[in-house]
Amino acid sequence: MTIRPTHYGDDTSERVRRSLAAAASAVDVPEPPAVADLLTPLAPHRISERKRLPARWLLGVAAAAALIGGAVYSAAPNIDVHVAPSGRPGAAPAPTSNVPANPARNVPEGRGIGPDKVEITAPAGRRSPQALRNLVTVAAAEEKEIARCMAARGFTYTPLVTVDTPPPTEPPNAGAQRYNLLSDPLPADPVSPLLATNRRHYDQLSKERQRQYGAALTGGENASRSPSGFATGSCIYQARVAVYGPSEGSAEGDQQLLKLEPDVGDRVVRDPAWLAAQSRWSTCMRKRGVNVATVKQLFDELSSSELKSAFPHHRTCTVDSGLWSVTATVQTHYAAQVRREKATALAAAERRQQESLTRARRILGQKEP
Amino acid sequence: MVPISDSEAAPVEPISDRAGADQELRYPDFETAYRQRWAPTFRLAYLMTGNRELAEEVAQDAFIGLVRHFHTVDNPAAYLRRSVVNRVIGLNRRARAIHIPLSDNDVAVAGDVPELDETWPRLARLPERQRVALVLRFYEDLDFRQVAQVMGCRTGTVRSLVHRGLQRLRSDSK
Repeated sequence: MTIRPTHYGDDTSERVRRSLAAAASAVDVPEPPAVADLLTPLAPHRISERKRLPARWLLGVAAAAALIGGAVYSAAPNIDVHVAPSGRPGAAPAPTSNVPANPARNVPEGRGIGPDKVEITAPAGRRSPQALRNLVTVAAAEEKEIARCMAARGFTYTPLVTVDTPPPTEPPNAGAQRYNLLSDPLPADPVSPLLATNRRHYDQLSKERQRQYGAALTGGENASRSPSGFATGSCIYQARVAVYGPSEGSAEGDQQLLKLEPDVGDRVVRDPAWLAAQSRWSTCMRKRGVNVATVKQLFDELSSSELKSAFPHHRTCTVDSGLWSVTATVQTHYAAQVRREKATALAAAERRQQESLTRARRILGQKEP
Repeated sequence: MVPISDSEAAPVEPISDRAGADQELRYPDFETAYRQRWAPTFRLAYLMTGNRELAEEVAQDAFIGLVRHFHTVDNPAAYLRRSVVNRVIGLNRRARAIHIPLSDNDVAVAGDVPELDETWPRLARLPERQRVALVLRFYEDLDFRQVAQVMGCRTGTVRSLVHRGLQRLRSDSK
């Protein structure tokens, strides 16, 4: 970016106006997340969780490898990966990770780059299909409780998530979508028709009843608030308490804690072996005409079109420099380290999550499996 | 789910939007509103934070706040604007972990943009409320009364914020 010197006269406000308009039109607008993701607040791929990761650039490495292998890959950064040694001269050294190999997931030769077999095992933090269904269960219970509370106050509220709502999924090309490399249409929106139902009910109310409806749902003007910020008299808050219990305020925090972030990401990118691999990666990228020093720089500073051009090189260099295998090794190591250090807190968070699930099943009339 | 404050949920008077008179817009469904308002909401958040990643976070939080009671909101664009302002102003106040200190890279945008002089990085370094007031006044083209309404303060306060913001930009350039 070229920044021109400025001399302010009386036209400062006009300069501000022009500068803001220029900055707004120059910034790349990211793709929005799917509508359904907005309503499954603990979904693993919500932007608000992903973006809190301090080591976002790690995801770029992982996404590259996922593309190489054509594997479906979770956005969770605490992935366990294993790169099978290729035996090729000059190839990345075999990792010393203790992650067991999974031959069934080996990528056939001829795919991806050269003879390297990139094997991606199930990430440690990745949810099983059952875990994803559990997210829906909890969200559906919360919605059911909101509807029950609203009904008790004389209003109709159609739950926006039910047990039949499809669980959140990470599309195969999510890594690419995240960086605006593809322009797939958004997934189908199951929410709008339900919202429209609520809107029809709302529109039929008088102005005064509409005000009461809003107050019942989200709290009144001067409502007292819980430490987590919700109006304590609102149906949304009461639903949260019904599902999350006394740990209502820690539900989202627990989710972050269980992802082992930001601890693992911070440690990985400070690891000497990782930094050395990144240096080799940078050399490789420069040889290919992409002048970047760090992976973070690649994803933070290049425009979408530049990144799209650079991505094939990034993919190649990530493997050839050993960055992928080193990431796998050190990430596994630090994940285990963090788990040991935070064993008590993690166990408590898991227990709270399990209790929430139990409450949610009870609300929905489901039996414990 | 992100907490929804009363000030966000409360109806606001129609306010003209940079992209058009949003007081006239009644979106037929949430998805339409989401698709049409995502980019303006993100851009507004970007101008207020100077940080693309944080702006994406703020914009998404605004829509999460909107989705559950979209049917009770008459003016989604105004709701989103106020929601963005509340979240941006609250970022430092709540010292949220997601706050990322502004750096040169954050305020830089890709490409050589002719109109983008050094005003932009200086704007991004203004105190939070001054920056928000300037963005609402000079990007969103709101008058002082409307800015005050969005920021939840008095008109005189907004005048003072805008004045001090411009003054600081002038003094920074000397």
